[in-house]
Amino acid sequence: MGSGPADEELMLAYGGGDAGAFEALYRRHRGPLYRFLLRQVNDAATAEELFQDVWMRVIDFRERYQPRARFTSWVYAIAHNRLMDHYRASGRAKFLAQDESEAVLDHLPSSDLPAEALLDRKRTAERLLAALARLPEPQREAFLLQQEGELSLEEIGAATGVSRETAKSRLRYALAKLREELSKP
Amino acid sequence: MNDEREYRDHALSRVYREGAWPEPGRQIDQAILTASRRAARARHPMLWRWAPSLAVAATVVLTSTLVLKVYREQPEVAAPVTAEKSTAAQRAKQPAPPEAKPAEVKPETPPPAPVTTPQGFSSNMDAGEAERLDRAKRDLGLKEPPPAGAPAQAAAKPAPKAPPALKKEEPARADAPSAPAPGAPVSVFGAAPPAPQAAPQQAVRVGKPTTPFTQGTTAAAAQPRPEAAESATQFQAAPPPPEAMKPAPAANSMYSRSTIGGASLDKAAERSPQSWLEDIRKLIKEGKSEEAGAQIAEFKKRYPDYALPEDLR
Repeated sequence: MGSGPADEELMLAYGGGDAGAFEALYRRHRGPLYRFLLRQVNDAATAEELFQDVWMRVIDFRERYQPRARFTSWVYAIAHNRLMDHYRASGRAKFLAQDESEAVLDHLPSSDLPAEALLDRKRTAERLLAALARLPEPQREAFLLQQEGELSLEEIGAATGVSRETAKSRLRYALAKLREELSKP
Repeated sequence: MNDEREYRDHALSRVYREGAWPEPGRQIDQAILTASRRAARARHPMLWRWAPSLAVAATVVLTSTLVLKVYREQPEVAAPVTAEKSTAAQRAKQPAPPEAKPAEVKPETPPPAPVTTPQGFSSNMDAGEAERLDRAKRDLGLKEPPPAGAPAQAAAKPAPKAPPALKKEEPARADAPSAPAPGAPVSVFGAAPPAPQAAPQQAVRVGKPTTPFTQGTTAAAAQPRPEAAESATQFQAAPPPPEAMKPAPAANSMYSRSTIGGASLDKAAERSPQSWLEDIRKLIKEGKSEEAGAQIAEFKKRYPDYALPEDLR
């Protein structure tokens, strides 16, 4: 996460009344967290609302924060919970029981992308984002947690409230589908 | 773990990062950061709870300290002001100059008596006394009185409002003597050696007020003016002026009738021998032989080696 004090130290400092520590923490994580939410809801206004809520919760929890896990895991867990609330409120909660076809996918497809996909990178990126938007929420979330939050499988499981194996399965599905989409001519 | 590497597709990650990188708006940033600062301040609720009370207490302490200080200093300032007021009531109703602070004026206040000239008392003195006063004034280094023919001009001139007597030294004015009138007695001490130390200082102090008072009093003689008349009355009645306005003892004796007519030997002794002798001659002319004799004796005592002129032996 770059140089400087660790996220956990900053959060503890902020809990001790150091507003500057929070600012450093915020600058470090604002982009990835926002994109994580935006890719999930596909609406900037909703994403900003959720984003603000997540940070407000961080602020509220400043004095109770205990660095038992990485700060990133903790903050993305908050974001996940906020997303669940949002899904429930918007009637999209059914996805929670939707991802159990993962067991079908035993092997990851080859990680090699077609040469054409790598040539036109901008267009490929747009296709990837479009494919990401079509993924089921849990798989998309697992992929985004890995890409934006740089969480490990363990942390993805912890943040989303599932086992490591479930997290692994979701991620595997996400990667397979994305590669498949990009491999299409 | 192998799992981690297996499930991290770098090619896919690279493609993903080449897409758009949206970020939250500045307003959201500001809102969140403001909330975080506010929360951080609330970290010390005790301090913030007591801050207003502490501020009020500090203000009260500061204010009361200032008030006490002002009260303590006030009597020191007020006393001379009161003295000044009573003096002003007794003396001419001339407003004090704004810059004349009592505390500063006190040590350098010129004596009131020397600021007048014999012309101002012409109605109450004979010519000899007036002349003697003039001479005594010159002996002290005061400037020439205005010419005898000046009263008309002086009457035409507006009297200065602020009495310069209360002002500090102004050498420019002191160095600007008025030309003697043809009929006025010529000072025989014009070329006399400088008087002893005190005289020049007094001359500088009193030099300035001389002119206005002279003008005022001479004008009063020709054309009665309430201010000048009152001023003259003040000097004649000679009420004891307050400490701040009291003239120096030496100057007072010089202008006091009793000392002039009696034994102002101490003062005379401070004069140059020539001027003293001139005074003695005047006394003889006026028929005051006893006084003249006493002064000659005193002169001999003071200047035993001085050869008395023929007419005074």
